[in-house]
Amino acid sequence: MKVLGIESTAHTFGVGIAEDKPPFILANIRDTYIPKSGGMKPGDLARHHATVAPDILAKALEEAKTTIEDIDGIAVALGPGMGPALRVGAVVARALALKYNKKLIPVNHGIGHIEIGYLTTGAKDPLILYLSGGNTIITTFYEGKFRIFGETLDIALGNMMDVFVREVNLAPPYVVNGKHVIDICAENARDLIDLPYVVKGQDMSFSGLLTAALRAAKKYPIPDICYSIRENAFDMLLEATERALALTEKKEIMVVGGVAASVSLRSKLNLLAKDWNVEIKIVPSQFSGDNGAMIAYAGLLALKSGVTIPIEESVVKPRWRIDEVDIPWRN
Amino acid sequence: MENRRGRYSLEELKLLKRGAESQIYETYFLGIHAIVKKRISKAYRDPKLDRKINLERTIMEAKLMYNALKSGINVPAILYIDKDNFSIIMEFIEGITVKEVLWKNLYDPKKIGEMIGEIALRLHSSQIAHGDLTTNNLILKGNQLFLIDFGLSKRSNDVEDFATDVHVFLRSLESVHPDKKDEVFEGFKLTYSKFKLYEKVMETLKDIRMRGRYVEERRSKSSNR
Repeated sequence: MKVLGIESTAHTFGVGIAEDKPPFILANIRDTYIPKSGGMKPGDLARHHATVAPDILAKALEEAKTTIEDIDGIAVALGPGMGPALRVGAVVARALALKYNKKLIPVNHGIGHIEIGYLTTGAKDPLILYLSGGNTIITTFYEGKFRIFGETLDIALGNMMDVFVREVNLAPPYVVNGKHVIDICAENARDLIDLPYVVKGQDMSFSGLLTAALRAAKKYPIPDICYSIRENAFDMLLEATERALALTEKKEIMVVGGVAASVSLRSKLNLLAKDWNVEIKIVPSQFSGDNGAMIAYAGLLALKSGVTIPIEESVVKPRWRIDEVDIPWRN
Repeated sequence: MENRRGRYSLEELKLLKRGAESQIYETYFLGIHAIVKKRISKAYRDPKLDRKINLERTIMEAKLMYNALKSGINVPAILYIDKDNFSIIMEFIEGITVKEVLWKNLYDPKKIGEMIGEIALRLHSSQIAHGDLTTNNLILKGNQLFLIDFGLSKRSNDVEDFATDVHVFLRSLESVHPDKKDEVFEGFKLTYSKFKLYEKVMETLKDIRMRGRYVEERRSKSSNR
């Protein structure tokens, strides 16, 4: 069984193809929109996605050495994400499903990140950190659903760091030679600046940290602030993680999403792991950022459990939470 | 923690519990049966940030315990605050947790509820949100109820924080003894209803419980942006 998956929730338009036998992922092609200045404008994203879509789709089929006729279902990330961007993926998916008479499979973008994590790290029963530009979630699977133990109450950790480096003119690009510019900038830090540290139980709040850091940027050396903002943000996350570990007594921590690529986060997690005697499993970098393969793979699992959606009901869900999704394949 | 400059003396420490951010030891302090709550330094933290967080929280916890005491709530007496070691040494309350009391039918559930309601009333009237008001953090000693673990407490005027206390309490009842929940909560409301924001708290509580993990609230908040 083969499923083609389409990702278009944010800056990346991706198409992946997954099969229910090794090597599971047959293709993973994408194109990421990088604005020349400022943040992502939803309209620009939609234009970018619509422009690259045909080419990405053709390349994915070519890489998988298959044809659209051989595909059993079309999976699409219907949310969460930005409406105009989501709609491009949804339109492409609906068109393919209609024209070639294929089943349409709704996939939650976050579940895609998590399932590709299970597949590529071999984690069995982990505490999951889902960290990306738009999400900061501590979750674990329990009785049919992913239950959220902690999350950000406002903006995501990844978004916070991106906005900071952009506002102080260090980015774009946000990642240079595999390192986030906040890490590169922090290498020259000499002192820790006093910034807000907000953990509420298992939840975190990053918006106050961003505001304070931007204000501090006028007074202190930028490297010191890069270092301080990163330390505060990651330490808040790790503290919330420790609370969840104490509660759930899990023996593995799986990290998925774009922020999983962060080198400084890894070294912190390794220290935490020693302390708690847990294993850290991090999704490989080609699957950490947004991609179509994860949508295809989660769609494959869903299709095998009979999860499909009629075209007329396949509306995009910009605020679709992972704890709303039934996971019949994981019991 | 050893006898430093003769300021205080601790006998042997026995580890009782390891939490996410602190370790709890049992000991004797100047002959008094005591608890040492020591915040742990984290290897992953910048040492300066680590010190700041542990110091601030140690001081805040002690302050809030003292404020709670001033508003007439039974809390463990603070015996010593060791800021250098991020430790609070406090009286060991020789009693039984409410969790056990309910479990073993040791006290009238409604009476217990009334006593907890009285504690919540005084706490919230003094603008303190406890943050972890579970049956595990309430200890019955004779006929007196003690509130412990102010590790997640904060000063607050926010109805949401007060309602969260009530919500956490109710959830702990549901998991400990669903069959006694109604009786205990009835008693709780009897005394807690004297709180001036009572109506608002109960309204917010309903919201919190309806929305599960704050789903709806967060949604409307973000869509209003």
